Amino acid sequence: MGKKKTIHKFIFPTLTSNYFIRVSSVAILAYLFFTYLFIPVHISGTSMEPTYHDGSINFTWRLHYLFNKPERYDIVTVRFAGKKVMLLKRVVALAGETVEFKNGKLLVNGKKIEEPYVRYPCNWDLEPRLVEEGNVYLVGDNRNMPLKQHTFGQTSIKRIMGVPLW
Amino acid sequence: MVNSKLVKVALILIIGGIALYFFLQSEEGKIRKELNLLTELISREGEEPALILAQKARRTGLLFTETCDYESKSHSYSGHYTRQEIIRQTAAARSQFSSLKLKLYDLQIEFPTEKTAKVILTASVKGQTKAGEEVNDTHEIELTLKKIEKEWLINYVKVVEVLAK
Repeated sequence: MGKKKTIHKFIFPTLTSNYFIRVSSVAILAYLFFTYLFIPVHISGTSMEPTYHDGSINFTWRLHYLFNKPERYDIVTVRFAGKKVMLLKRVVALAGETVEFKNGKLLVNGKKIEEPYVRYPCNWDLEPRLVEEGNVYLVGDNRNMPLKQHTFGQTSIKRIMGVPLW
Repeated sequence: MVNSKLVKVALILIIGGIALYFFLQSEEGKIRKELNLLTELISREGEEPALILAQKARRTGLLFTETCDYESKSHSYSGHYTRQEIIRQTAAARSQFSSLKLKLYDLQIEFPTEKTAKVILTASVKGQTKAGEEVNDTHEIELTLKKIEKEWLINYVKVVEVLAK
């Protein structure tokens, strides 16, 4: 009987002012948490295959770069447009380094970089270019598409929103 | 008791209505209204008679200054356009689509001078061409609007390049 009452009370709570304060507090905290700390993201597109799949769900952890700077191989979310549209890419080169692609291989400062996460064949060729101060160079893991169709390149560190949670 | 509640609701509605009226009359409200009109004129659903197509293109052109600059590093259309060219390009582009939906959101509006407004927004275009190709593109856009004879007109459009190859 007591258990039944508890369940009934849980489903149909008494609408007291304390109850409304509790519900409002939870709603506000949840809003702040999922707006500023763990931003839910729906991955759309195949540019990070096979590491991240089209249609999957993740969260952006906003505080990751509070005390650190992005490093090579980090996967980051970048603010693309407004507050809602983000890109998910991998950092392959840092400020002051030169980046190029030769026969699908990534070269940083003229040296080949090992990329075990790239599983699909790639035939990209891109002339060397310098990553400017305050920027990082980002590329997706899926290079099995024409170079022109893949969104990649250097961007300001200021646009980096955080890292995916998993 | 009931009467006092009704009075309160009526007061809230009146104050809300006045606030909305003043917001729409504000410069920011006018710009938002104009950009809403732009999305309505660009969007289309299904077949459209040639006359309506031409009329919508003309009305779109009237939202721009006599000449307007367009800048985009990823598209080849960058340049200086007259209003007539904008009307022609709008009509030509819209006629290629069987359905088209333009959405402008996340607007940030600043007024560097009294007669100039800078707007940063997200533009998303979704649709299908008459050839059956699906289009789904989103970009951050920077606009400059000039106030000419009480009207805010688009003077400069820039597609923000987030990743530079």
